[in-house]
Formats: sequence, C-alpha cells, structure tokens
Amino acid sequence: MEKDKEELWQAEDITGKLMVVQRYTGLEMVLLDNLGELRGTTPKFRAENLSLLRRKRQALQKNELKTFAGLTVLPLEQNKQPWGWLVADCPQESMAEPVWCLFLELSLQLTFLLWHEGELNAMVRRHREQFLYDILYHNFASSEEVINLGKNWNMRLDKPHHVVVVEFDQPLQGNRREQLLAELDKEWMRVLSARFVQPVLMLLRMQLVILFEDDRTPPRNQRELAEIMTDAMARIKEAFPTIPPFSVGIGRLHYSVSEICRSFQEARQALSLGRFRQPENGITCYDELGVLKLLSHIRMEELDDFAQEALGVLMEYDDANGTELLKTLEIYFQENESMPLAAERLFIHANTLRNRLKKIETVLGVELNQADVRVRFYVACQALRIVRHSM
Amino acid sequence: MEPQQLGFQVDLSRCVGCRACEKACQHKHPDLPRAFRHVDEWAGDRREQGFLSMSCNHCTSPECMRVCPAGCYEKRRNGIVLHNSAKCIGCGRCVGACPFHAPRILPHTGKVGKCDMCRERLAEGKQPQCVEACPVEALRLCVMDGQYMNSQDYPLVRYTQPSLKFIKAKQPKCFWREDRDGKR
Repeated sequence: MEKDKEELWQAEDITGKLMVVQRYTGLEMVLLDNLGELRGTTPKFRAENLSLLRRKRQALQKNELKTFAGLTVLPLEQNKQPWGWLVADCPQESMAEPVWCLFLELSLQLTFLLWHEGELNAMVRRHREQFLYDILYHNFASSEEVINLGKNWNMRLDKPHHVVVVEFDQPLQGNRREQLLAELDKEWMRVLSARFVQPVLMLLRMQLVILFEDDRTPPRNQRELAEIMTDAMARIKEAFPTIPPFSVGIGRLHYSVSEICRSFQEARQALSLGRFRQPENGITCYDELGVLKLLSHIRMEELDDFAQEALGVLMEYDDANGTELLKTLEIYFQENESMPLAAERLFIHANTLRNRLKKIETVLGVELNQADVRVRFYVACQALRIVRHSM
Repeated sequence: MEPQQLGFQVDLSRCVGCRACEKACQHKHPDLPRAFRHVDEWAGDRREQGFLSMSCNHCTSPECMRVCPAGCYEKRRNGIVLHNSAKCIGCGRCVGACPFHAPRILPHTGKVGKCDMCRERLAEGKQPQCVEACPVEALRLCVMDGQYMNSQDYPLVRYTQPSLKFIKAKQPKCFWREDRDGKR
C-alpha cells in the first residue's frame, strides 16, 4: 500500500484524516454532516467558502452542486442514505489524478466514520428514548430506581420537571417529515440550552417532547413558562423562517417523577384542544383550557345542538342580511370582552363594535351584561369552534 | 424492547356477532359481572346492521392515566395500558374519563379493573383469549403503525388515539336463518 493511503488508514478521527490528505495534496477541505453542520476542517479552508456552504445549506440538501462554483463538493452516501458532504476549495478539473484518487479514498473513509458514529448515536438514542418512554408512561416499579437510572443520563429526576409537547400543525410526508423533526429538535435544543440546565428532548410519535427541571424557588408558573415558550418560538422562526407552523402544549408542574406521566398527558391534551382556539402556531397551557376540557368529553352531536340552540338565530340573521354578528361575538369573547382589542382585530371602530353588540342583543333577545347569559354564549361559541374544526 | 403500540383489529366484514370473544373474556375473568370485552350491535330499522367488538383500546394518550390521582396506570413498552389495583383507591375518576368506559369498578373489591390484553398469555407467545376464541378471525392483534382511528364522535378521541383498527365491510353481508322445513 502507498504511504499516503497507509497513513490515511492509520488516522483515527475526522480531523486526523483531513490533515493527512492535506499534507500530501495541499487541498484545503471541510466536512459537513447531513444537517449541514461543520464536522471537521483543515486550518486554511477559506472562511467565505465555509460561509457560502452554510448559507446555501438547502442547495446542498437538494444536491444542487452547481451553486458552488470553484469548489469540489462530494456527497457522502451509503445505500442512498446521505451522511454529509466533503468539500475541497478547488474545482475538480484542477486536481491531478493521484490527488483526486486520494480525495475519493478520503471520502469513503469519512463516509464510514460518519456512518459508524451515526449507528452509535442511534443506539445511544434508542436506549435513552426507551428510558424516557418509561418515565413518560409511568412504566417503572419505584421512583428511587428511576431517579438513580436518570443519573446515568445526567438527569436530575428528583427535581420537579416541566413537560412541553411540540407538534407540527399539518401532517408532513416522508423524508421531509423526519428531516424537519430533526431540525425542530435541534432548534429547540439550541434555544432552550441557553436558558435551562440540560433540557431533555425526545421525538415520540411525530411529537417533540421536552422535559426540563425547574430549579427556581418558587417554581415558574404556567404563564411564565408560556412567555418563555413564546420567546423560544419567535427565535426558532427567526433562525429557520421556512419551518412549517407548529404548536406547543404545556402541562402542569408536578413535583414527583411518578407524576411526569400526568404532566405529559396534560401537555398533549393542551396541544390538541388548544388547536380549537388557535389552529396554527398556538401555545396552550393546560391550566388555561378551562371549559374546553369539559366540552371535549361531550359528543359532537350534543355540542352542535347546543351551539345551534344558542346561536342559530344569529346565524340565520347573518345569512339573511350579510352581516358578521356571529364573528363579532366570537372575537369579542376571544379578546376577553375587551372593546379596543376586539375592534382592532375586526378592523372596525370601537363605536361600530358597540353598535354591533347592541344589535346582537336585539337579535338574540338577551342582555350580555348578565353573567349567566355571557357564560351561555361564551360556551356556545367554544362548542361551535369545536364542531367547525372537527368537521 | 423498542416502544411499539399493540392494538386490536376488528374486521367488520367477518364478524358474525357470535360473541365468542365476549364469552372467552368472561371465562378468563369469572368474578366479573360483565366481561371486559363486549359486542355491541349496530341497530338498523328492522334488524342488526353489524357488530362491534370493543374492550380497552390501550390509547396512545390514555385519559385514565391523566386523571388517576393515585398513579395506578402505566403503559408498557408494547403499548398495553395496565392498572395496578394495589394502588387503586376506587375513586372512579378513570371510569368517567375514559371515552370508551373501559375501566370498571369491580363490585367485589370496590376497585377498578380493566382489560390487560391478557399480558401473561402474550408473554408466553400466545394470543389474547378473545382473539384466540374468534372462530372467523375477525378479531386480531396488530401493531399500530401510526394510523389511528379518527373518530368524529368526541373531540377527546382525536388526541387519546385509541389503538383500534377497523376493516370496513366492502359490501353488506346478510345471514338468514333457515327453518327446519327448509323455508327462509
């Protein structure tokens, strides 16, 4: 075997292998993984080329290699599965044959290294996910046992944990789904790591489950947590503007590891029922579900009957006169009966809103300033939303 | 063991309503006043239109687990939702919360009991009693592959995701009883 290839075999890690090839060929190279993250580089690889690769990550993923004129981009694939890209900062035409051969040899060895690392990571992730599954579904004999096991994964399960569930609002198909979920996982990890000690993230049945301990005394309430999540969501959307809409559900804080399962189910329920209020990009706390929690246990026909009995007259009036009284009433309730906010959302003047509310009272034959009337129509509006979104 | 979700698959075109599954469940749990599995009839105008064999659906998001104040419920890695009667205080919250009314208060103990998918039989590599008893193989055990029943009845069922698959009958099947003299 030639000396260069022998040395290449002997180098054990990515940087070592890149340096061997750089020494023999003078090529400056960079290795990116399948998410476009930098995995290794030779010292003099030009910063502007690296910046170009980062900016045009999507072109790399779509295999549009013509975008990178002046560079040699070699996709690293095994059994059609992409593992990354090896990039040299000169065009392929300018490489002599022995240099090209060594570059190809390097690409094969790096593919193996990335694949091997991927397999190891997958195995670790599998074991970790099984452990987290057991916590989320209360599948353990004693809390002490699971707290001790958690220490192996750097989890302090003796502390109270918040549970948050994130899910895309529309079902995604095929490879794109896996890729987007991985991106979502990465982005949430990046944003939350800056704020919390070792947040735990796990992909479970097309949902991203996030656990993080609350080390503050007294612990954060759900409102504070919702604000943190709103901020995190804005950061993620800023960093990744093309990400499809996703919603967030937040469970209550339970203090024992054996109650994380309840918090998880609460977060999932908040996520699911919250979509009746805000179909996309919503953040819902379990505590805020209110009457929706009760309505979700009622059959759809009964909900429909109730909504029709309460609001049928208003719907008929709207149909006959081309008005938007029902929508006005719904938004008025959604904005917590705030005149200025409801008027702003409806793009009308506050006085117009007052007139419309008077008209609603006339059509329905009620007075909205009475508590029992307001509650009846508020619940009817909620029931109507559930029926509409379930059709 | 990798987490998965076992569930029941009911082939509505095969089920003849013989209630063998119900009887098998009753035979396994003789103390119960009514078996965990039950066959419901879809009533039509003049005669039964079909049969629906139901028991606990071992939901992906079990509502019983959310409401239980004593932490009696656990979900195994194969997706089976188990109830630990040693912890049960008999409050009955899970009974009311389950959209399928699968957990029941047992009169002789005052605690809740529910279908455990015959887990000891599964551990031995056998099928649950009800599945084995079905003479027409209408009831089967299956691994759910992410396709869950989309019920329009309750908003709750959208998120609990019961592990139940139905194979709908493609065309109606009629069964006629033949009298002794050969006339229908």
